[in-house]
Amino acid sequence: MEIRFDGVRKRRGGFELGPLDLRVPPGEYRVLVGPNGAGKTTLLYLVAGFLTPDAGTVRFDAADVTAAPPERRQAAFVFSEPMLFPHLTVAENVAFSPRHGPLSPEDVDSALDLLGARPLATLRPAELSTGQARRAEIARAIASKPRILLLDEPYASIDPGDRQAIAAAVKALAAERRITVLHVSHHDEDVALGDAVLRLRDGRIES
Amino acid sequence: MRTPHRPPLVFLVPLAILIVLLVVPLAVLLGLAAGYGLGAAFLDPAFLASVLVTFAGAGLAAGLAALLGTPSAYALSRGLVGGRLGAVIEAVLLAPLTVPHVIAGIALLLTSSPLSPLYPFLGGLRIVDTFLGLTLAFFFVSSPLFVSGVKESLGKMDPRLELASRSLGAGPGETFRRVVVPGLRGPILESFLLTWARAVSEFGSIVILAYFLLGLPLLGTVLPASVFVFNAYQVGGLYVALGYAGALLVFSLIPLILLQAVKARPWRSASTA
Repeated sequence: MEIRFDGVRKRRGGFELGPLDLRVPPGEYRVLVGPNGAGKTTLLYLVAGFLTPDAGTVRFDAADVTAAPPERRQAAFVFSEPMLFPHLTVAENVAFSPRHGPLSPEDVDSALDLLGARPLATLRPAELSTGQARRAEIARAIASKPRILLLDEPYASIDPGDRQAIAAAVKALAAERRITVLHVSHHDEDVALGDAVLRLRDGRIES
Repeated sequence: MRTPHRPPLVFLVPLAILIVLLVVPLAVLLGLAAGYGLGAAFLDPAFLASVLVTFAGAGLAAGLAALLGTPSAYALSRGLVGGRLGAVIEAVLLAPLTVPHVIAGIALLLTSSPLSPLYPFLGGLRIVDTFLGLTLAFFFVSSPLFVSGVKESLGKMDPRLELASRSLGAGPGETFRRVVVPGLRGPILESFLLTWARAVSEFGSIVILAYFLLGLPLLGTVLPASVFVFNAYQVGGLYVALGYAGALLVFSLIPLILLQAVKARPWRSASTA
């Protein structure tokens, strides 16, 4: 799915993002980099529908989704800290999405397998390490069959071994399923994951 | 967090004074009641009926507070009613905590009376000396505790959990039902028990609105428990009231004991982590 911003602006407190004109082709893995306060997370929130722009339009393919709520966007979001639902097991978290009807246990297992998280299925989030929680959360996002995947510093506080394995799995999955990915990162090595890089500074696109 | 050292006296002394001020009067009452009809009170059918009706009305009021208060607390906590209006609504919802409860009783009495502009609509509602009136009075004076308790817990719950749910395709209602409410089950249960306990102890409003409860099936005419004790004091004096007062004190500890049991449950800490 193509993501397109036309003249998008968003003011949050004293900070203003944009005006931004942006086009991310379908199936592209784009890494967003920039210093703190550049507007990376605000941009992701605008794509996810957590925020609506003050001006401009957001389009997915030809559809204007500027005012569409998050649940109508098919854009799964992975936050910088694990946001698994604490009252559910890992398997129940993965089966959570109502977007395509109830998931069968086989679907849940296969989503967990993609991230090497099947052994975690019966555990609660409080019992997981950060790396395990991250695997489970990405499996949950993938199980919702998104057209867009939004990753907000997803590999922060994960040890390097886990980080490389999870990043490689996500990259392969996104390519296989033609999921458009926007990945915010502070790590230089994540730039190599992207088909393209978007650099933000002070709310504007640098390159 | 526990410290291996004994806490300094600067903390222990105020704590000890607080305990003495709060517990000693109740302990004295219970001790004296044992010699003045405490045992007989537990076997008095009229008193037991009053306790039953009071706990049932208070439980219904707490249940209604949970039903209405959970989404209300959520709306206020998440700024769904924003700006100055949200602040005004919150103040209005908490107002019954500061209004003297006798006034609450008079206000409820007037609302459905012929003096009220709402009489054409509410005149048929029989709230004077009825179980409905008792429950409404309990609800009026105790539901703000529920709303403020749940709202405080919502403040500790990361709103990004709700955003994650929305991004997975769940709408606001489904997110509330599947993420917020289960995540708050501990605080909801605790607030329910606290609201129930507060309602059981109510006197000021029900002495105006529901001094007698007339025509209850199987029970006939019943006095709410606190009114029962007050009536015993008025009619028979201190020594007659003592046994009932002690017994009601014991009964009123039940919700608090349940509350402590709920607080000790391990899932409580995970629900608002």
